[in-house]
Amino acid sequence: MLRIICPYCGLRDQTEFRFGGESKPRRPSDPAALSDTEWAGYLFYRENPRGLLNERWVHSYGCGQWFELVRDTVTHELKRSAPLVDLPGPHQVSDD
Amino acid sequence: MEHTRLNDSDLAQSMPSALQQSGTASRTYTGKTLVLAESTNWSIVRLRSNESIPGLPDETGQCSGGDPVTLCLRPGEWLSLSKILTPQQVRSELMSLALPPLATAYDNTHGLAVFRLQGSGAPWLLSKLSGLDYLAGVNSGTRCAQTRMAHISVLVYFHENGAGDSVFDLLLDRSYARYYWELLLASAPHADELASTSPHY
Amino acid sequence: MTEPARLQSGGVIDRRKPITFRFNGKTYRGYEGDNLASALLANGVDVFARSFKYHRPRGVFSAGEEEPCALVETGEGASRVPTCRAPMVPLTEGLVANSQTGWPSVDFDLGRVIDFTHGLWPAGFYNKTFKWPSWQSWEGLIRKSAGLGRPLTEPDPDHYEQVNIHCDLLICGSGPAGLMAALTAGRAGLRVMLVEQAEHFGGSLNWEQYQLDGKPCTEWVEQVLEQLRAMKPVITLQRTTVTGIYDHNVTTLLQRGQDTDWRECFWTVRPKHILLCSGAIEQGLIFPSNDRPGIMLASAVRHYLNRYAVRPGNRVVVATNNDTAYQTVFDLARERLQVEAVIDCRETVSEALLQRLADLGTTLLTNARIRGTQGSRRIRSVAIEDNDGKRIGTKKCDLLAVSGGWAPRVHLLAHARGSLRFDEVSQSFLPDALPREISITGAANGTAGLEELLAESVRAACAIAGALGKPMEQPKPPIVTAAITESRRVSPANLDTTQPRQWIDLAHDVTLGDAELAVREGFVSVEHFKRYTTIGMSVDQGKTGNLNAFIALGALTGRPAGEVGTTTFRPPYTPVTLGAIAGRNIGEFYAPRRYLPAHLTHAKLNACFEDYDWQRPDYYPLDKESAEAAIQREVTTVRNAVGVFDNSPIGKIEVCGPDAAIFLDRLYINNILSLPAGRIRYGLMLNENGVIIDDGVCIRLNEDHFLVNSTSAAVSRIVALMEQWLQCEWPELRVLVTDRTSDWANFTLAGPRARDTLSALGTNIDLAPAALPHMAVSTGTVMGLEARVARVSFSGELSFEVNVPALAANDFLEAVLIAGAAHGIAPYGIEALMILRTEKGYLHVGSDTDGSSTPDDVGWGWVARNKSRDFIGRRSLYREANQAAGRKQLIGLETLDPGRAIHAGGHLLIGKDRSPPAETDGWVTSACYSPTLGRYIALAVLCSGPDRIGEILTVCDGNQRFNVKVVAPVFYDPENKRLEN
Repeated sequence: MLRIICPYCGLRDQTEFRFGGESKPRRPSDPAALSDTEWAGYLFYRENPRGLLNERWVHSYGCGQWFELVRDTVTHELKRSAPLVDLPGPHQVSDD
Repeated sequence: MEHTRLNDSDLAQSMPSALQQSGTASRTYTGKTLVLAESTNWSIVRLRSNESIPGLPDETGQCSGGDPVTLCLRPGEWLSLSKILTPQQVRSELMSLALPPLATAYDNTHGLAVFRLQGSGAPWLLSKLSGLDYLAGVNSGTRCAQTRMAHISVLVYFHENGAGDSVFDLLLDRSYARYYWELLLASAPHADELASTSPHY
Repeated sequence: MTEPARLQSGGVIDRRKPITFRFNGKTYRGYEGDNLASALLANGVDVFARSFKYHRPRGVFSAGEEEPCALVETGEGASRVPTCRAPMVPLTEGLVANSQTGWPSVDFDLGRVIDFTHGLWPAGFYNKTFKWPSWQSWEGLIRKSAGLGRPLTEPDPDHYEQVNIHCDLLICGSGPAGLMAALTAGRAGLRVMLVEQAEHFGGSLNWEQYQLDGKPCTEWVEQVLEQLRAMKPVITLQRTTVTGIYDHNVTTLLQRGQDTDWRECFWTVRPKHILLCSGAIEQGLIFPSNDRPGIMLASAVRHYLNRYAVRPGNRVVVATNNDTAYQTVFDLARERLQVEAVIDCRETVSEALLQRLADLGTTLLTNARIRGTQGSRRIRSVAIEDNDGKRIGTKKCDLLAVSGGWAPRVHLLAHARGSLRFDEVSQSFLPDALPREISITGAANGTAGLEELLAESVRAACAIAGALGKPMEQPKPPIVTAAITESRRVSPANLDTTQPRQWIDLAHDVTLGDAELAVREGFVSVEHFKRYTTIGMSVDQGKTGNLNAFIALGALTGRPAGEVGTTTFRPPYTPVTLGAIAGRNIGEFYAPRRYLPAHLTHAKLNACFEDYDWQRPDYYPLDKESAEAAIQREVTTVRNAVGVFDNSPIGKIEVCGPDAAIFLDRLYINNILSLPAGRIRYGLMLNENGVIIDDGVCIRLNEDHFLVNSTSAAVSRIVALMEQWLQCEWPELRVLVTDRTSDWANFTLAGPRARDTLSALGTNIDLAPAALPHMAVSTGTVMGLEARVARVSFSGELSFEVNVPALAANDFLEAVLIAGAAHGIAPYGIEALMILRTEKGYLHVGSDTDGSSTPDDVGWGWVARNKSRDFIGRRSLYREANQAAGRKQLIGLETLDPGRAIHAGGHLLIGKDRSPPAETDGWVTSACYSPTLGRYIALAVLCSGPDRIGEILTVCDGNQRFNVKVVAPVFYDPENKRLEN
């Protein structure tokens, strides 16, 4: 079980959160203009790196906020946890 | 039969017990080191907005005021609790703040059940059900935390009573009241044991 | 004679408290403080078990959790526990224990024939033989002839507790290193947890004869514990194993209860720092016939002798490759037990040891090793040779104490991804790179020498205290005297691979010959080697033999042990009962139960509740009515009079703000912008793949205030979805979403007399059809309560959904039944509801739809196509697969024989009177008996279904096959006249 840093609530058990996957690009403003392949690219394809990954989590059993975490997929080290908007969160963690 | 009338100015003194409504026999429990009881005399109003509101705490977990006390659950969401005022009165007080254009305040009294835990065994009981550091003590005044216990989301509001003892008020969706109460009762004996074995931790 | 092998005095057992227990049907006596192994050894028992494969007799090899031989079952019936390590079973009054291997008995085992034909059964023999006619024909026999414990068939009758806890420092192990660190850290004011897996704190201080500050070390242990117990933020746990370290250093402990009503307690610790003081495990020696009863680890001999006053033998030979075993010689001599010889494989031994042996008159043979042993139920003699293979002689003995060096307990470190390196001097794997916030001291870190180890622990604890913001002056550790010889210098292995029957893994019965075979067949990587031979894969996980195995593999493949490496250490360190992991999350607490606000009233009405997450009435039987009769009566009542249904779990998600309409318009396939205030629209929500995830009604209260009635099971999912879109994609939208499901109770009044009933309750809402048409909403009061009344119908009858504050639910429901009595009202439950909606062909998302259903598949494609604005899922609807012909789409079915029962799940085959094997063309999604129509009806999905109305198909319904006709998916009132009532 990981211990996840919610920028709003602080350090909590992973079981309070839901994993939202790799941070995606913004939803295309005009999906109708995309080809099937381009649309599939937006829906399904991700980088899946070995190492640092930008990912989204939501604190479902807590504050309910979405935030972005930078996690090392090999060591699970958490490098950064920040709200999605540019407001500072009290428990924000940045690179060491 | 008394009906709850939201538009009344009568004091909201008797909030029907969620435990009684769901067929639970007991409503209080006293162990060696802890006391559990359902609290039914709260007025609870939930305030939502898309901006911060001057006069209200804007950091998750912060609380302000005496009665009503306002808890900040996350940016743009607050709960105001009162034992003295009716929900309408609490709501009026909130609506009189300098609210941004998009804000709603509504009576949440019907949707929540409240349980109060006190005693040295209380943090141990909560530690059996969730992973927060309840034993660390109430170290920065009153605070609240929304967390997971068993499979449900519970708001823990911890503060001190007049005698300086820790008090935990647990707020959760009313429909879970009976299940959660049964879980508390089943877990209480071991919490008593833990508190008796390590009274100073 | 009771307890022939118990010393007259000494030991830490309480001789005033004798305990009676049974083993293999015989009654024995022991004392409080004994464990099962010490008590049985004291009683002269030799054979505890039969080995895994060869059924050889086995005794006790160790004194701890690493025990590979004395594996027995304790208890009886549902409380029986298989495969207990005898040294880890505390002796309690009335304990019943039995061997679990050996037939007909452990003393005479017919299975021994496998040992006598051992050449036929090398490692992996089953991969090469027993192939004809098939492996399965032999499997049963082969599995029965090997193995250790019998699993139970009854459920676990015990109960288990769980706890979560935080601390500054978690110390694993309470030997000298752990105790010293705990004392230091406790003095610094840290929140410390000291965890010990044995019955008592102290580790090796419980049996080694040290003196600390001039006193016996056991006294020092007591003093330290007293101090620790007086320190406020210190928790000491004995009988508790640290079972694993997981991500972010989350650590689990398994605490065994004593005189508690719980059997075990599972702790999940979140420490800021972990200090591993887990000690080291002594290893055996590899030589021919090294597995007989009476062959024991040298430190175990001292352990039984000093702590339990047990004499594990009368004529002892000691064999070793390091200095520590000599302490066994000295301790035995103290008790006037004869040591026949010391066999040391090293060339030379230190002067100090030589002198002491000379003083005792004990024979020392250096540069020597064991050639073989004799004795069946117990060792009888030892044959000795020099390291070149030249015979030296034979010694009679009944106890052979062996020491093959020490393997630091680095398991937990490895769980946490610490790395190891091979140390040539100690011939063991020592910690190398440490993970964050983990330290290791003492024998676990390869530190030899009690003095050095105590100082190391003090330094470590002070460093940790400093790092956690509580710096302190280093206290002085106690002064050590009368220490045993503590050099950890070990001579490298000296294997004679030509000799047969040299055991490496006692628990899985694996020999050096098997290791050689593995290498010969090319399984030279340590992970392949392990799996081919099964070395280290038994219940002991190779604790006393793996080090030897890796060194042997190196020798066999010409590589240094460091290059061979170790296999991966995985949690748990020792087995964990599943019940402890489950804790209280079983039975009634397995999943949360939700109760309706009017639960009491439903119970008074004799409702038959079913678990839908919410405990909801399925039906309300009157008197002795059968379920079927009740349900049919309820359906008929709704169709002909009026029924009341508790719909409180339905989602009441309030969406408000200037952009609320725009927001919802993006979520629904329907046009929400055009929904007038006061009106309701039935809508579908899709995911980005175009698949239906929710259906429900969207109610517009006014310009910027909506109420979304999500289907009950999807409420939290839909709220979460809305939050996700607003927070992640559309933060610029001015919308607030709040879930008010539990604030409002919702009762449906359905049937031709529904309006009359609602009027009779008293309301200021105009219920006339013109004022409140179908799919409209009004607010006001009902019975003096704030209320919202919506005209929506899931039954196909005139229907009003009345929302009142939840606290008034019980009173309201009772009042409804009173007001409706004159109109023939009855409450109806889920079963009746499902029939009513199936008669109308109304969708039930999740039954009639699945993870592939698009709006087109359920007849709503035209709504999606008519909307030109983007909504979630729209783009995917235009993908090839979603436009393809032959998609499974919703239709109705009528059985040709109207009385023929049809059930959901039946597969549809093209044509009449067909039989499988055949390709399925679709399946039945909902089915029931319709009391309204007097026949069975069903909804189904069928390839291109809507184009095939009238076709006859065969349905495979369980074992039945019968014919059905494809019809439109609506059976009752297709023109919806009754809704406009």
